[in-house]
Amino acid sequence: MSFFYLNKIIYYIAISIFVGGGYIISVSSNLMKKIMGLGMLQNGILLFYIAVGKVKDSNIPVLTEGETLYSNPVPHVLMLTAIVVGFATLSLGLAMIIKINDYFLTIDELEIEQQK
Amino acid sequence: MINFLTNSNQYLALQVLLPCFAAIFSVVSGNNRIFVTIFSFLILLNSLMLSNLTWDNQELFYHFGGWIAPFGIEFKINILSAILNLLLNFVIFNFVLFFWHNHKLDINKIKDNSGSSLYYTLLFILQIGMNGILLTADFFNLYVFIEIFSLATYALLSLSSDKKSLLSAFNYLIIGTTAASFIVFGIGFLYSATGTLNIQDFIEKIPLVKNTKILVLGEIFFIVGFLIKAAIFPMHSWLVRVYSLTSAVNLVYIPVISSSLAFYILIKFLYYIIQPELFITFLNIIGVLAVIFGSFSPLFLKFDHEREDIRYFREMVIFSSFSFGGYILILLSLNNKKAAVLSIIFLLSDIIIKSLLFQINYFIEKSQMHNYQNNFSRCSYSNIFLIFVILTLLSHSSLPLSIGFVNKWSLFSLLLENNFYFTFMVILLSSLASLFYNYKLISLFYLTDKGYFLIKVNKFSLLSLLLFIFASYAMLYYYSPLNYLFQKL
Repeated sequence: MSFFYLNKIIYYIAISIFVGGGYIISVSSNLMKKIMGLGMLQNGILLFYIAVGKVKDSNIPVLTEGETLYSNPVPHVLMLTAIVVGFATLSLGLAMIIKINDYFLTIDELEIEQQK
Repeated sequence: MINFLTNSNQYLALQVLLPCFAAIFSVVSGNNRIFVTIFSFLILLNSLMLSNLTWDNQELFYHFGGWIAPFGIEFKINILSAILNLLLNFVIFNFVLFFWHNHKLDINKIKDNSGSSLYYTLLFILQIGMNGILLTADFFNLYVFIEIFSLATYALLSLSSDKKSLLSAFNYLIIGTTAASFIVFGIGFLYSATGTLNIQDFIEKIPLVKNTKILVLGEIFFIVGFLIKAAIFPMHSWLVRVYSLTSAVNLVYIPVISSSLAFYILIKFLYYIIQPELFITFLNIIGVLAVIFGSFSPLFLKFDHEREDIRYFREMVIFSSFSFGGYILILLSLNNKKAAVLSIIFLLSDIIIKSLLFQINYFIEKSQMHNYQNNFSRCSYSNIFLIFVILTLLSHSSLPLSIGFVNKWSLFSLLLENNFYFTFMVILLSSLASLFYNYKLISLFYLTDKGYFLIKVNKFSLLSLLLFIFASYAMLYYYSPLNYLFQKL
């Protein structure tokens, strides 16, 4: 019995990155760190999707003579879209942080709550 | 060109492309009212066309790039999504038509004309996402449109005269993106279980992998993501914060659209795509909790005479809207055809009633702000407005002579048919509570000696309320044909 499921270790890494991102979001009061946690959470998903596309003992998905087994390129293509979406979210979040800094002169959530 | 006009499937792509063009052009148009109204009207006309084409229970398809379904992305519309599409596009058209000059009132960040045209760009981007969510037949495409919709919502909700709305909108961005990440994680599991992203293909492949761990995990992630998006009871706090701080004019359309889209996807996924046998108990418990919270929490809100709190009506409406989500989940937990149809009718009537309530809230807040700014001691008292308020609250408290009453009645009979006695008792109690808080709302207009809620309403704006009141009674009149229509889905 393969105790550690070594061939599935990529999924454990992906899940731990996802959970780590969620942890950073929930504990930090600094808005910048929250955005970073969000990016980490999304990166966990990217890794998961890329791992899903891999077929055991397969070739790269380019048509070649004598090859019948290819990796699945669809999840990789989907992740290109997800990267763009993540980029848009990140930019909007950063723009909001700039505005918040303009109005409150801080980007710490607890300090903003104390302000009247 | 002739081919384009005769091929009716093109209207499906146009439904997303038109707001796309409108968003681009309204950047350069510079606060041109006629331009925005015409575009918004064209989109509404197109959705009218689509619902006309699907009226005989027909389904329309549009294949992008000519790739047939499991390989390419397709758009698909049936009578349910067509009606929702029509109704939600009408909500936006109504906003553009009647609330044009008003959006500057308490969004102090939009002062010059260029800023105003950017507001409408965001509105059209929101419309792209909304139409895409309703029309797409592909899981990953659904996620992308959800993100487009949400990004526009975050930006719009951050606009307010209260600068703390920026922080609440930022927190909404964090929560909303986390929820979307859950959804995309779920879609990844669903994809690796069935090997397809097309929804129709997915339905056909489910029996092959039924109750495998990976499929159930995917379903759980997907459902939890949408429960966060829909702000069901334990995950509701972000919604209260963001909606109570944003400007009142945003509330005319954003809460209505975002909650109805989330519940539409939940109904579609839970009843029409997978069979929710595994989740029945979970849905029932969450639904009952949401109903209890939604109907008893408004009772604890205090009307502060000292502070002259103009946000009281708004907060009452926000808290009471949680119980609606509970009803939908309870109906889905019944897991039969009748309940699914009733949940759809609940959804449609909620769109009408909630947009009425938030429009009324807008008029209240606007006249109060007027009072502060110009120090008006007397406002004229519009009797027609009061009649509309009474008709709306009649429906909201599900008293007779309203669509809310018929809905509640069908819900009760359905619960008794299926022997859900405990849920029946809970909903009965919560209905009593809702009577009580609706009484508190109506008394604000009549019983305050300070004359606090005196409303000054533009006669032209009353037309928007009239249209929605008319829609609710039209729905009441055509209740059984509507039921029959959705029965065939």
